[in-house]
Amino acid sequence: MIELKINGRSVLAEEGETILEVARKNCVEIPALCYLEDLSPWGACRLCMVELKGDIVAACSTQACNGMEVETDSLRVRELRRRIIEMLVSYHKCDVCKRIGKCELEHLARKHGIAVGEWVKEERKDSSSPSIEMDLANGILCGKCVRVCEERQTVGALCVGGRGSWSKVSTAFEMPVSETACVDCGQCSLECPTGAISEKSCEKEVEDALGSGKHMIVQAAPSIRVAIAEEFGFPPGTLSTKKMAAALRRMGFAKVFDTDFGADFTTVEEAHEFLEKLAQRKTPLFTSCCPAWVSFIEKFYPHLIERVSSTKSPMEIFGTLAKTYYAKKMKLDPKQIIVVMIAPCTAKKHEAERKEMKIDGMKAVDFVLTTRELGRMLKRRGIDWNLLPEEEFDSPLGESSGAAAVYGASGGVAEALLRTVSYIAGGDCGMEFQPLRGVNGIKEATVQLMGREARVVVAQTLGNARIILDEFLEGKRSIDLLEVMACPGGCLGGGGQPIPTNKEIRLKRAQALYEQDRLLPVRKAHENPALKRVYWEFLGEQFGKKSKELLHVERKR
Amino acid sequence: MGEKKIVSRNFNRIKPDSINDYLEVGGYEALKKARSMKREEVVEEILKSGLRGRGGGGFPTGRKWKLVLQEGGKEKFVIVNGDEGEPGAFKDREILEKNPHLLVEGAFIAAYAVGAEKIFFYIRGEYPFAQKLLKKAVVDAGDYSNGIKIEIRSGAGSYICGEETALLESIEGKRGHPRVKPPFPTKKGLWERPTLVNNAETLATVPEIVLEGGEWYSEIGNGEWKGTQLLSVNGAVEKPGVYEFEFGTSAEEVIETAGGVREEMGLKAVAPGASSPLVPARELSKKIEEIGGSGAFIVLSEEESIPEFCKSVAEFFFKESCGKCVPCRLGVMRLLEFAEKRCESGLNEIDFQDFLELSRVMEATSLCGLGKSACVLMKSALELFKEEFLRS
Ligand SMILES: Cc1cc2nc3c(=O)[nH]c(=O)nc-3n(C[C@H](O)[C@H](O)[C@H](O)COP(=O)(O)O)c2cc1C
Ligand code: SF4
Ligand code: SF4
Ligand code: SF4
Ligand code: FES
Repeated sequence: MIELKINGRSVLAEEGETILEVARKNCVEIPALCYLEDLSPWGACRLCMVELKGDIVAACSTQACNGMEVETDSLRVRELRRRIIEMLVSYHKCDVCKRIGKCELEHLARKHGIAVGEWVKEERKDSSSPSIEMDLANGILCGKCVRVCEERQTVGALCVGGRGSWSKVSTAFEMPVSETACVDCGQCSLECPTGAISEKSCEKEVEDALGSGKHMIVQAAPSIRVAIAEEFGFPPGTLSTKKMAAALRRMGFAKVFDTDFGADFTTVEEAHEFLEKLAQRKTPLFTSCCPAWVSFIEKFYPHLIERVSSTKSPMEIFGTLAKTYYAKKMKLDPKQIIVVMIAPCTAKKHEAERKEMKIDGMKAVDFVLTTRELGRMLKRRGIDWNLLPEEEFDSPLGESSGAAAVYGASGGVAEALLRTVSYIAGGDCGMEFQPLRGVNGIKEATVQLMGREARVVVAQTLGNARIILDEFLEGKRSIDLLEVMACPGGCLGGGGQPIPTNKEIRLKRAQALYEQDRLLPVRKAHENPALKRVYWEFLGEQFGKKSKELLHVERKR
Repeated sequence: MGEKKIVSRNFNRIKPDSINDYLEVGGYEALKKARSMKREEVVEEILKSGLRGRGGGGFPTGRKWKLVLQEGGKEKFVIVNGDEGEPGAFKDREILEKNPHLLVEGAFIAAYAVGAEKIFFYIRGEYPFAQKLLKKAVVDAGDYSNGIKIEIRSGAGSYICGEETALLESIEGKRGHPRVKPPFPTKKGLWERPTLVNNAETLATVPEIVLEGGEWYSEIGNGEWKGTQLLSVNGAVEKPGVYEFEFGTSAEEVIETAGGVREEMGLKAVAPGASSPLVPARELSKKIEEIGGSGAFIVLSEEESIPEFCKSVAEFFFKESCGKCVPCRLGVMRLLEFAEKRCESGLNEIDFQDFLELSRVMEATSLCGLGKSACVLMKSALELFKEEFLRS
């Protein structure tokens, strides 16, 4: 233990902690635009500077020492900090940005009473990607996106390019981002302190479709209900499934359905697939519901693509059933149905575009809106979260099990699968799998299945996935089932989620999802009555001919 | 005080591309001597000598070596910093072109002393001839390598890559951005291994110290500054070139040695590169160690316009800032704006105040030495030659 003084108050710290970490623990606020706890220190924004007996140092990259006397708010610090903010805003454009009210730079400037200035740099927009949009000249070069992509995801699509004052975040050879290794996870857009990187918005397209007279149906992913209220100032982890349903209805959707419904199909189909692989000794099987993960395999480990489950993601299964089963049942022309997805995810925007997901030449899911886009659309409509009534999802694509609820958390898909797998195989390996829950980047469990031990591994973030894959390829790790979610915490920490999303917030959202699971009467996917009905009325056998045709895709190099 | 040749002793006396010439004047004897000593003893001699880094920082060389040596038996590296990006400095080039073996020998001694198995020479990209000579020297010195590997890397035309941590990034194949310190390179340098980074001149001084002993060296020089320094004297002097002076030599003596100020010209100031304050004519009694800088010595004549000179310096920093940290990336834009404004319309009192404010911010908050010192020269110019900046 170390003892030091922050603004005259004695505080304790661990050996090796930085001044910034100690200050935060003790509720002393220091602005820190380029700092992220899981990334290497960068030291570029210089806003975190503090005074140490006359010396100015960066709190994010200076270790706390015994007897240190730290001033975080001295006259000198305030003056210098103010100047730096002035510099930043005077080269920043604020007028046409999606981040209104949630830009850390704008926030800082307002707090310091600094007007946001004129635009002087060249434009450099990149809208080539289906998932993210970049206005990189507007970046403040905090380097977070570069480090997130490189360190958290080990993708390395972004870099810093240009010289001196004209430095900017860029891609190799200034290629359009769509031509880089980017896997669309959107973590860069989540961590960007300004609006320089954002989700590629399709708000306008959805607005237009809502006015087009087509049959508009909407599905919301498991992670939306525990996060959307944050956009209206409610605490993280506020479960608001019913208000969300009401809000979506007020936007003009004819039917408000649930991606959880699709998730139960993913679970059942993938459970059969897993058991088949296990029997044929063709494991490991990789989960397939995170499109960023699938792209990661395609781009970095193409020879492993056949390991990825052929089962479609919950969103795509929902879209498929909406344009086949539901259309038939409602006697609608599938071409007249528009499926809108509310996702915590930017990569889903790309998944929706994939050729292999089409049914009869139609996209199964027409538009994907992130949580943030939904928040903005609701606000534009003047929807007051407080005044919303509580409403239910519509039937028949609105019923689901607790297993679908936990899809939103890292480890949830594996847990849902195990609940069903043990039923199909006979026997019971349990309901809750604590070792697969929680914040660890890599989690493991062993279960008894078909008379043998099956190794289940769960990874969150692609950096951790890479570690697992490399160990697997070197023969150092045996795996039967591998679940990977590209985003920390799983989809509840997705690239399209409300800003800010951090460790504490992810934890709260996860708690809300697990709570929801506990309270549901049906907690196993195969017990969902709506699902049974669809197999009975339409699909026939589980993992049978028609299911395989509609709910699976071929994974090819 | 005055001129004294230690590093430059054999310049122009031996052929730079001939190892035999070098051997004839006692080349590689120091290396043999060093290898007959314990590593600790070699470091001790350097400590005793009082040698300080010639790359601009002036850090005691022996202390740096000791830090790397103490890092235990891990893989270690030595880097010879020959990036020499400071405007008006060309003394490291002189070493490379006049006696490359001296540098190779110094580097071998350093590698032995700290226990490194590989040496990187990082040489400015604009020095192709020097690189060629160095390559030959390295090949010819193969017999003396004792298994130590050598790799020569060419700089890619960026001033910041001379900063030691940006240099590390550059060798690792990344963009030349300075790293956050600590950890210092001595602990975590190249690929996180303990690394010794020394300026070329620093290492070229080492063989003589090993041969003659640290004590001998410590008796040369003045006060805290032991030994000699190479200066690249240029600008308005009769005989521009690289000269070696004992510390304690005054600016006046330097100019005299270089043949005095060019005919019919008065002297206005001396600029020790782009990152140190100007020395006005009335302060020529200043000693070279007080003037600082990293080996550049630019003599500005009466005819020189100080604001124009400041503008060229501002342009330099504007181009060479690495762009990583905010105060420097955006500060150098302001610096250039000030310098350009003066040339268009002259500055007023408010501009002066704004400029001082800018220089305070950059000095206090920039991440590395470039940003911290980018305003230094112009600030001194505004103090010393204020009338030249005023609106006329
Ligand atoms: C912007 C900047 C540029 C530098 N350029 C050089 C250079 O070209 N050559 C050099 O030897 N040191 C340069 N340095 C100093 C190095 O960081 C480092 O201190 C030096 O190489 C250490 O060697 P020494 O202890 O022998 O001086 C530079 C420093 C800064 C901040
Ligand atoms: S979306 Fe993900 S993969 Fe693409 S640039 Fe951003 S962080 Fe990298
Ligand atoms: S973890 Fe979820 S939110 Fe993140 S990319 Fe994958 S599917 Fe999208
Ligand atoms: S001070 Fe300038 S050169 Fe140094 S890190 Fe900052 S931007 Fe780069
Ligand atoms: S947070 Fe410390 S420099 Fe940016």
